[in-house]
Amino acid sequence: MLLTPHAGTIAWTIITFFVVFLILRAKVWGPLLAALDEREKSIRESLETADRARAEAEAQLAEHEKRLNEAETEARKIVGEAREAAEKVRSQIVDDAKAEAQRAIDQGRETLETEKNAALAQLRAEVADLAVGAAGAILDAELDAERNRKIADDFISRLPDSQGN
Amino acid sequence: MADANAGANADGQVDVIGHILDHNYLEVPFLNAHHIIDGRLDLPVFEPIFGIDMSITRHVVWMWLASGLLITTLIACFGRPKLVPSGLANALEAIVVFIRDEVVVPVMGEGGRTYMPFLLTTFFFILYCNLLGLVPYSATATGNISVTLSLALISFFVTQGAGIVNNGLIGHIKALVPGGMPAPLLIIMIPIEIIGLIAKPFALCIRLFANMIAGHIAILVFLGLIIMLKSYYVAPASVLLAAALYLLEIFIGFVQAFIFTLLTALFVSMAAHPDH
Repeated sequence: MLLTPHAGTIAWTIITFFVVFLILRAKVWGPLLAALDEREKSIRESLETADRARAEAEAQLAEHEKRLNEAETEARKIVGEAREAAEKVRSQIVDDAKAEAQRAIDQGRETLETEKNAALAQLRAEVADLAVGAAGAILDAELDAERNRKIADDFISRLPDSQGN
Repeated sequence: MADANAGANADGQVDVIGHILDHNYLEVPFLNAHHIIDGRLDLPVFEPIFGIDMSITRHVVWMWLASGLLITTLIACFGRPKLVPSGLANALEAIVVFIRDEVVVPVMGEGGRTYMPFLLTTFFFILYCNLLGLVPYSATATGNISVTLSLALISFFVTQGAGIVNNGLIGHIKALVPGGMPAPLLIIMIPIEIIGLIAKPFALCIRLFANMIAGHIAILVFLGLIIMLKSYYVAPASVLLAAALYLLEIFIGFVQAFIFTLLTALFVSMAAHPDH
């Protein structure tokens, strides 16, 4: 009884199973499996989109870093160039100043020389005049040695102090 | 249980097998009507159709109740699929996804998706029959050899059908015996393979049947001890053990439905792709 199959029950089971199968396949499994696939597809797509967005963001970050580095290099270059130019200008100015000073010194020296020479020439002429004057005076007076000396001494002592140098 | 009590009242014995067997009445001791005698609601008896006794029995009724419950819950949960399921739909969907990703696709490959509706129906049909059989006064349809035999036959025919559809009738018959076999061995191999062909559904049938009645018998025996020993002192131990077995039965209900589905998937896959 327990292990004896019953034809009627077998028939009912097969009929029931097929009815259940047909109803569930039409009403449940079709839509459910499609919905599961749909959801998995949407999740996969979301993940892919997120991955793509992240890759894009990373690429942009790299790009920005590259640009930043470039800008820094550029700035450094500009500063270096400016410093170089300034250095050049400075040394130019210094050189010019030095040359100017040298020229002023040289000019001064030249003027000094000219004036010294002129003064010397004038001095010589004056000394000659004085000597001629003194000689005339001596010739005017009697040729007495004692007196001559005295006359020369008087003349010399009458000379202005400026002749001292 | 009413049946067991009736037996106990008569001669102090518990009719364990009577509880397991199929009857042409339902146990409804909680109903009171003039046509219900001894808590038994008689089911209709039909004249044999084509020599088959198509009378409704209690296992058939409980199978129908399980089927109705199955269709109702599944349509309520999945009739209108949502992107984000909730509640029971979530739990049932987890089972569906488990069967798809852990059973069908690994065992049968991507081509196995064609068999998903059949395998899911098999799983849930057996699961609902198993679980509904645990409700007091109910009967376990899958604890009836005729029901499990029918399910095994369905599994068998689907398996053979898959083999014929994929390899052709001749290819399918040839594939029953592994290729490259020396001719003399065929004399031994052909009978062995034919026995194997029948043994597979037979094992499916007996495994489900035996697992379902074993738990029920054990629960009934533990509770029956109280009546047989006519002592209240065994009641706590009996009830505790019966409750533990009851919980185990819930687990076995799931496991057996899963095993039946897994083996069916495996057999179908083996028939469809005999090379592997």
